Amino acid sequence: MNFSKKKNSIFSAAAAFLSTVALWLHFRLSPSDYLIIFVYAALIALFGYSTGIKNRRGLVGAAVTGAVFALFTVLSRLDIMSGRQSWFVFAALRFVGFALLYTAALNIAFDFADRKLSTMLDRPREKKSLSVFFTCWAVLYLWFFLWLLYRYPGGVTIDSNLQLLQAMGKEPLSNHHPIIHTAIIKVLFDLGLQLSGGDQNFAVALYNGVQALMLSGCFAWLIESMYRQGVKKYVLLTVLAVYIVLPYHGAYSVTMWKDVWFGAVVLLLCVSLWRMICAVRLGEKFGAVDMAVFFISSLLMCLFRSNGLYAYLLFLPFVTLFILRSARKWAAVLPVLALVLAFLVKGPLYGSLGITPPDTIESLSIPAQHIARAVRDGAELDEQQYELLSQAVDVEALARVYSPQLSDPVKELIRHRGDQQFIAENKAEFLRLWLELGLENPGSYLKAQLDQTQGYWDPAVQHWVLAPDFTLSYEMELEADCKLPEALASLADKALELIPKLPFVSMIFSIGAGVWVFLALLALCLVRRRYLEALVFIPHLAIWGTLLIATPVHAEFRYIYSLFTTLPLLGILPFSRRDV
Amino acid sequence: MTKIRFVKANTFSALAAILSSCAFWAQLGLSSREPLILFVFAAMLFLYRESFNCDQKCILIAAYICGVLFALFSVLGNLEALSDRRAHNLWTLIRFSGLALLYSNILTVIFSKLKDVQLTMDKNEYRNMSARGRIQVFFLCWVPIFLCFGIWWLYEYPGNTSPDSNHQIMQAMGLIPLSSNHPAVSTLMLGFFFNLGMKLFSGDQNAALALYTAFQMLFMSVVFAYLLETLYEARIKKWVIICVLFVYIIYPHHGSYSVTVWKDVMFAGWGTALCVSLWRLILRCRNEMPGSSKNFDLALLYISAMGASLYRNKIYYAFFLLLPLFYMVFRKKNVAAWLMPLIVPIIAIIINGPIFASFDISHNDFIESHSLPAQHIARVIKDGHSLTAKQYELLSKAVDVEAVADTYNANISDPIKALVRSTGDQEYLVTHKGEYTRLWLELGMQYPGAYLRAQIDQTKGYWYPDVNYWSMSNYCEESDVLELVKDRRLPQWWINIFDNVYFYLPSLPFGGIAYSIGTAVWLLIALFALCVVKGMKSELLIYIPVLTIVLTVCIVTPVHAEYRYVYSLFTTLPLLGILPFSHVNCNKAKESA
Repeated sequence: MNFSKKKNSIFSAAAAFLSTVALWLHFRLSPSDYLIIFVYAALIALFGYSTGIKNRRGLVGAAVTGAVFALFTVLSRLDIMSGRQSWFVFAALRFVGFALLYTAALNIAFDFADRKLSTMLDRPREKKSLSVFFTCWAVLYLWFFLWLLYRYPGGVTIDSNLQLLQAMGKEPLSNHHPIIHTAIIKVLFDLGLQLSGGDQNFAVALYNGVQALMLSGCFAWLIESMYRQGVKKYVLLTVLAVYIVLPYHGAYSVTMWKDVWFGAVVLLLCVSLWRMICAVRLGEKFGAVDMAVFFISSLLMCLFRSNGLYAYLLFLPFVTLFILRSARKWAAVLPVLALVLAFLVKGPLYGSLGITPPDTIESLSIPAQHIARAVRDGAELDEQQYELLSQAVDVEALARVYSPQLSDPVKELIRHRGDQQFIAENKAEFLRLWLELGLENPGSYLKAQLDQTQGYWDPAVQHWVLAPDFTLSYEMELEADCKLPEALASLADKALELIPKLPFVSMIFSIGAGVWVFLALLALCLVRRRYLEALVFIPHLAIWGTLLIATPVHAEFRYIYSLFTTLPLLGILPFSRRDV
Repeated sequence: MTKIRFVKANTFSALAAILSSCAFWAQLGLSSREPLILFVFAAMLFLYRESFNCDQKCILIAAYICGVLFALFSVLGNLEALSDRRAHNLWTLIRFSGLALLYSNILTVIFSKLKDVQLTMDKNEYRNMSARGRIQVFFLCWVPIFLCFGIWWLYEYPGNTSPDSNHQIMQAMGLIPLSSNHPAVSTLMLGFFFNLGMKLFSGDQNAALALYTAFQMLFMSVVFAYLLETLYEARIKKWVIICVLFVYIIYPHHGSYSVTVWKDVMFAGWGTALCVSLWRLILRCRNEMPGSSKNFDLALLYISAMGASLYRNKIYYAFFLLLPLFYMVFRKKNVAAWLMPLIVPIIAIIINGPIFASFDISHNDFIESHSLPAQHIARVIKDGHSLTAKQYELLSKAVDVEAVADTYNANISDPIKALVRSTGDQEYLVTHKGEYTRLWLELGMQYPGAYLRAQIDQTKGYWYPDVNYWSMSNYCEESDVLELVKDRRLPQWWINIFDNVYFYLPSLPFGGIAYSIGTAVWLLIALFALCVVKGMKSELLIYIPVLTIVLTVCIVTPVHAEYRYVYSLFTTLPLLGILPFSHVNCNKAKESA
């Protein structure tokens, strides 16, 4: 055995040991848990294989990504050994162990991708692709239509109910839910009522049917774009299968949420951007259709969700720089114009239409959660701080109602028993209070933030993904009315009940798992020097960032549904051709 | 690798890795979205790819037999996993097959890698030793062990005692009648040193006990040193011998037990000596230990077998079963050796029978030797199964049936024994043995599940590694009659170090595994299998005494995980661990010839 092999063996054994200890700590296993020995043996094999890969760039990419995953893993269970003085040592041990494990696994994955998947786009490019588009659209829409029949008239939740009431004029219009979405609901709902002679079920079903048509169309456009760019047929079929098999696409296509539209819009933005990048790679100019879709989807991204605007703001410099370096420099005005238009629509236009913006506490829910957590954890408030806070909210009740994973209880407390007007008029004082308490109780703020956002970076978090069938409102006349044969519906119910309980398979519902896949793909893109293609990742990175800062719910799948609509595209980007 | 084989290897690896990961997930009760399971899956994928390369039949058979056995233990030891799910049976099957694949393939890789490993010295490293040289080696090994045990003796002065120890001491002092609950030889030996100590130290019970523990410490250190010297004579590499020496010094149980007043400690010492002497005789028969004295080794064989027979009640019956195996190994080469399993038990029966009868030793009560069937029946009642009127009436003469369910403890038979003693009529039990045997059989056939679960719970600690139970005593049991007091003779800072070892070591990862009986038993089975793979037929005999002890404990143990009952496994494990690597493979030897 030469020296290098011996060194690798020693490293493999040592790294496997550290990773095993990290696993033992993480799973809180008993000291005599023997399975850990077998895991150790398996990990030696894993590390042994990884150390044999000679790709420095890949290793660096894997190490950086692995370190990020390790940080997430450690943060997900900060309470391990928390009562001990040596808590930090154990946390550091877990971090190192997991970083080694993830690095090795990613190193192997990157190497595999390099060797086996780099020919994904090796087919010649196509000019004619309409048949592919229409075929995929038809297949997807047929599948989504089955979902509509299964959940007829489609998913309607509290949010959807409120928007329906706004559309019917029974509630005042508010941009708490995007007006553009409410407008679409209104148009289709009214059309439905007219066509059916006032049947609300049919009206909602019409809306959901059109939504499904829109979503399936966007998915079909992605597949068609892939076909044009020479993606191999087995990959196209896999992508089509992904959109069919993953239950949330079908379920969401017929659920009345703005998030579905947002997901579709972001997908259109990414696909159009990718087509523009491919044009640059080929030394061609941007297509007119691509630019038009890019512009419209940019505008809609800013209008369909409140965090869409901020995410787009973060994305703007990168895309503008890209366009400025292309053949159509003048097109750099498009993203800027989209943003400006969005501001004008959300500001003066909505104001002139009498549309009320979200209330004060809606945009301050995260700082409110921080303060509530500090109070619950027993933070000492001086007289001045207590007096200021108690003018906005019942301080004793604040500690009682605080929920680490959901900001609604605190928001509702302030809405119904607090004084939002006082908060709005004394913003500076409350900002100072937030800062003061944060400096005095950094641990509480950190834990509050971690608990509030955990679902977006920890794959093990369990939270519902598929909406319950209905929330009936006393002012609506909606009723679940499954149109499928009972046996088929029962089978579907059982399958949907079983999936979240199975290991591996239930990961499809995990936001954190999706985020980890996303980050790994981004790393792979950079490792393979696909820097232009990495641009397509930025909108999602920005959306994810806004959620990490300001999400009101710790693991709401629909808030990040745009990542999952675009994931198939992101999956092939690291293997794009580099013709120029 | 051909394309077909490549596809086969990858398909097998992927499917096996999925199954094993699911089994791992189920066994640990993880969340269904636990991401780390994916990485465990990746690790297993590589493991299976590596194991797929092994195509040696003997390795595969041995590995799969062990793997299936371990998987069975894993599943039976954790029957409650996923028991709240509707598909519990399906998950149990998945756990069993996934774990069987995992264990089998890991063992396949390990056996493949270890098959040609030898730990014997090269010819130029080893010098034939004279008797003086062998004595020097012996003392070189004995001194550090004895010194280390000496430190434990000072730390635990005058030694550790438990209720069993106090009972024996009182018998030895004549305060209570002698009883066969503890082996008479053990009590007499304790009595000899204790009473001698009382005379020498003017009635100081502490000093008297310290004399006995010093003797025990000396005995154990001599046994271990003799094992190490034998390793040297067998030409085992020096670094291995040093590692074994460290094990005997550092592993806390050896030090602690050497000064704990239990018959099991001496029994373990005799058991180890028996295995060592067996090995020496086997090597002599192959002319691989020319320097040793045949008569000495034979004498040691008989003495150690006698010691083991007398230090555990009725263990000598197991010797009769070993007779055919001894015959196969020694046959024409050493008649005295193969007759040992016949002669020693006969002598032991005579000693335990007529000779000890003259000492007026009282025998155990009925329930003591029938505690396991009592536990089976108690489990049936505890699980709420119905009894016929006739069964109820018969049982109520032996015990208060209504109190059984609340009294029954799945892991220890003492509560049920105490209940029978206090509320039942043991004389009636003795005079109606046939009827109670019939009752036990009837209930067993009606409720086999209850009997199986009772047996599993009663013995789990001896075959399932993940069982935590105390294993070291570091106190003097309080007694109204005896005047024994813990009187540590070390500086406080040293005592603090020892206390931390007691406290922290078992709670560390892998630390608890080192104390686990189940893990040691699995290791024993794997080493036995490795010997089979390597074709070392004679050496298999050396595993048999320890395997027999473990098996007998699994059948009749009153406590589910009493470390001292199988302490002989831990004292002999270093020897058993080296055996597979101590001899040139028979086939290889023929090839090189």
